[in-house]
Amino acid sequence: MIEEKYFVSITINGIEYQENVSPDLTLLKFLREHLGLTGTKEGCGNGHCGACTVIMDGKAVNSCLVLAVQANGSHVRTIEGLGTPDELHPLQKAFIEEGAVQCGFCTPGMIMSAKALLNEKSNSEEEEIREALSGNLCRCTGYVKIVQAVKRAADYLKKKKKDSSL
Amino acid sequence: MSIIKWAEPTDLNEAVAILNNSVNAIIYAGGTDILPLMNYGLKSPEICVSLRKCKSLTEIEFGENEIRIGSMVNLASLTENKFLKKTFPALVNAAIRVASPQIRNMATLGGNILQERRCKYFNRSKRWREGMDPCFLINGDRCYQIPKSDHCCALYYSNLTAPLMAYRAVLEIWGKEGLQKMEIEKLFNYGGTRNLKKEEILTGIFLPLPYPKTRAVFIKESIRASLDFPVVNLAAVYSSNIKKIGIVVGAMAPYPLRLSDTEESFSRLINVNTVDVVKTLSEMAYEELKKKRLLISEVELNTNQKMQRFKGALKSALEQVLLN
Repeated sequence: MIEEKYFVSITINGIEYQENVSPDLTLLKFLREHLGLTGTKEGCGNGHCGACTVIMDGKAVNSCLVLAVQANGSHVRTIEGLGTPDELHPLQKAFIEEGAVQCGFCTPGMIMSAKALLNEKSNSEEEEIREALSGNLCRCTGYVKIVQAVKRAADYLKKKKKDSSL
Repeated sequence: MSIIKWAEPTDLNEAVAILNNSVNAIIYAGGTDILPLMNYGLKSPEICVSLRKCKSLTEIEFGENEIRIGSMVNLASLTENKFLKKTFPALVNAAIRVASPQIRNMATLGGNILQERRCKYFNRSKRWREGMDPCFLINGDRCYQIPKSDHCCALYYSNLTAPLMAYRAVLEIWGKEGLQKMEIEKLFNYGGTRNLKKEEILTGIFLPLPYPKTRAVFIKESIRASLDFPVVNLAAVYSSNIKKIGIVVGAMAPYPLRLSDTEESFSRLINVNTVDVVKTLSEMAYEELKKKRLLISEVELNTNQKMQRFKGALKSALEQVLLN
């Protein structure tokens, strides 16, 4: 079937959204403009900066380089799906505590890339953290504090896992 | 950017029919290469034919003498496959060095091979290009890379094609006449155009299993360590059982260059000290590459600078496959 409008069903942060979309609508625009989930940022729009990173079916992707039609049937997690203002996700908490946020524009993307890494390997080495964040550009911090924040978050997650297994 | 229609055939014959009956249809794999080109106004397809629902294209199959990798297997999956890591390390290392983790999670093997070539004029925004006449790649009549050239001289930056050529890969192509096989080198015509008809689909890549005691290496030289195209890349595969070496260089020309004279000379270097073999081969390969008329400069890098980076990469590659 060749379609001019395509029916998509995408589960975002646990909620299923269904809509007829134009084939050239990116997942980024679907999130920001159709659903109002503006935590995911648009930077370069061409996959260079990583500001638009979300997790799709467990993998970090640039939402500016994924069409909504490609995401049809997928489970997507955005920064809005991580913590709440009252109960921050360990990554969000660690970023604040380490001062890993300056202008903040790259932060949602950084956190989603870090989350995808820690989901797969919670005890990641510094080299693995740097590799996982290599598709995310930050023009403010110089990356040191960001890497420290991911390490701190990994420690929080390990502690949380240990506590829950007691 | 505008895509008018989207198709997701589950059957390859259906995909071929759509491609054959449309004036301006393109095959859509991961989208990481084509989407920025659409954003720049360089591609405006009427129909995008997505292959993501064609199941046989996303599988890796292991045979007795060869393996088949579906063209829609993404690069992250290649890097995570234990058998590939052990048996085809140069291919896996080439995949690891592509762009960023986010892009590797979407980009496909077939897309990497068939990626659009790049140049200092072509890969710019519409606004940037407005004051200049179109080049060969966009139906114009000139080349900005090599102004005297009568054809497009955009560079081909694929990381994976060099090791695939060094491992002697064969492409599986589905078209109107059904399945065909083609040596990967035959995909590229002089000048960089592709030997594929508009309705033909690259469906898989066959890799013959290397001889025992084969050593292989992939090296990418780039200005930035991550998220950067190569200044030069190369793959070297050495099978000590049959005393043969394969050396393929990428990012220097409109298609990857096999250094066949150097490969042939290697078999004649018998009873020569291995350190001297590395030195002699390095010199031969450098001279052979220098003689190729296709070498092309890029933004802020002339061919001499690229050749120097090649020299260093080649020495390191030969030492790794011959000395270790």
